[in-house]
Amino acid sequence: MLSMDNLKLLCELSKLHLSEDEMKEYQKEMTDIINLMDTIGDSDFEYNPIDMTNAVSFGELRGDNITEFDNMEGIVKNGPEVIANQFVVPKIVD
Amino acid sequence: MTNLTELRKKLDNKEISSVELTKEYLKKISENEALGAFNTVCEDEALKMAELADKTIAEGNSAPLTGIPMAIKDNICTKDIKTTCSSKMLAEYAPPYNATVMEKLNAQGIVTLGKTSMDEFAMGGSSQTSALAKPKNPFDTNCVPGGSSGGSAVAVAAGLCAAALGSDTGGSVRQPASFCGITGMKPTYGTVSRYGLVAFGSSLDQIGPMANSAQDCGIILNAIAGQDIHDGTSRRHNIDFNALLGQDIKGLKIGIPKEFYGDGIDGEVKNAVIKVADFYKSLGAELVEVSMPTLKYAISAYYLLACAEASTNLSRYDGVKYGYRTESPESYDELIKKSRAEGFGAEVKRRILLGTYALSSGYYDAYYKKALAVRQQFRLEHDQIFEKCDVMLTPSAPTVAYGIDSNINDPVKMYLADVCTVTANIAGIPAISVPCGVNSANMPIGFSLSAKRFDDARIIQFADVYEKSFAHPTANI
Repeated sequence: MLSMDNLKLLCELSKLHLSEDEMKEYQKEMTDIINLMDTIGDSDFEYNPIDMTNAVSFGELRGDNITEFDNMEGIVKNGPEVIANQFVVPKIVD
Repeated sequence: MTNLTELRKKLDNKEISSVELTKEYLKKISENEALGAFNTVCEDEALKMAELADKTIAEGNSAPLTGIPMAIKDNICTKDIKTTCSSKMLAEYAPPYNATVMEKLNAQGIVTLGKTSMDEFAMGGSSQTSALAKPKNPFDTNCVPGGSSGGSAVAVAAGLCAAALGSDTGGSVRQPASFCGITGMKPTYGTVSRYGLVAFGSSLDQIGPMANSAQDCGIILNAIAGQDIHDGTSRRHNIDFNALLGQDIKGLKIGIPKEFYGDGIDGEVKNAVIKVADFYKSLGAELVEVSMPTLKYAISAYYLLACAEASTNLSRYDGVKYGYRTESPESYDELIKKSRAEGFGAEVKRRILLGTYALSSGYYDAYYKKALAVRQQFRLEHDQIFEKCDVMLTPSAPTVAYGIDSNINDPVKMYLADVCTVTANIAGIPAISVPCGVNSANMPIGFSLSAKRFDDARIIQFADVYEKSFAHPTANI
């Protein structure tokens, strides 16, 4: 069973605020899911980091150049709270 | 159902205009709103695009998809048209740019009818985790259409569009195609740019067509495929997806992996797929038994990899730059945690937690690294299989579409149902689902063909051969 402390740590790492009731529900569901994932422990394959089967050659990549995005207005329009082209967040430093 | 080649002829011969065709589809969409296929219908934009297409056609400059009305899955970015991923998190998000596939389709002059509903952030196999429209199967509206590209599958099956785009991370094009009696294809990883596809599992995601035939899938893939400087995983290739259409399959080999025909597969589904194998054999193809012993680890490897990548990809949703923001947060930390908790649905949260678990200190080697090792083994096994055969034939899903309330509250049961499709994503190979009749309850059954990487034209050839002899089932709407 996934411990409540472990679940709290996962929520913190995942930046998810869950209520006490939700935590109880997720504890059971996540335990079942992790039990299913545990089947992978029976496999005895070793990961070989040298074997990059899907690697793209560097020659095919674009140059590492800074370019201006052509629709800044479109970006700002999607901000939940924007003042003077700046995204507003609660005070971080007193 | 009219296929794209016939529509092209009608448009070019002026038997019908793109505006007339678009109006017909818009009317049908409105009449069938209860099917829940669309999150957004772009009536005004669609008619403007159709007018432009008609001008292009009149000038004699039509491309294969000019004036063709299509539906687009709601996780593919469309400039200034909402792209919600069926999530409260992105319910009001209108992208400031087009996905590369949209740029390519727009260059051909398609008509975008609207954005189709899906499982939230493409996480699910029923389309019922959507926070917006919840699509229903047109063959039986008490059943799910499959997922995550359920809205696109419904739109094609119900004749609400000529064709659609979906995305496939673990079967999200092929399983709904199977459930709704249409053809859907996941191309080889890297053939189609993922730029502008809202990321779920970046090493697995591919955009794919959903249509009335394999040939239609090839026409769409020819339009959207190609290397893109905006996607470092897109590959240079010169595939003509319909290059092998009409060629004889005599002497070609079909691999039958025994692990896909075991007890977990519904009897009627199994029999239908075996009949497909017999049909190909009657045309001179050779059936060979192959084996995929690693299949028993497919579900855990897939979910560990996909969720690990999702937990990273979805960290961008913080309620600051775009997306849902909680009301009156007291701190920056609370702003992020509450925005994410309120903006994401239960399945998305489960997958973020699982991915974080697999990547966290103390578990990384036991889960994530192990899953990477299994992926390497899968690739090796597939390479060995395709030395023995040209294509592999399997069921597209273990069952037909199930009742809306039957599976969706049991995540483990839902995950296990993906066993027939995830292997193609893990191995990066192309795979196509084609309808092969209906079961005793009149629900569509689908079979899948897969091939080695970049041999996409081969599976379209085989699928087309089958479709030339057997019509797709039609929904009674």
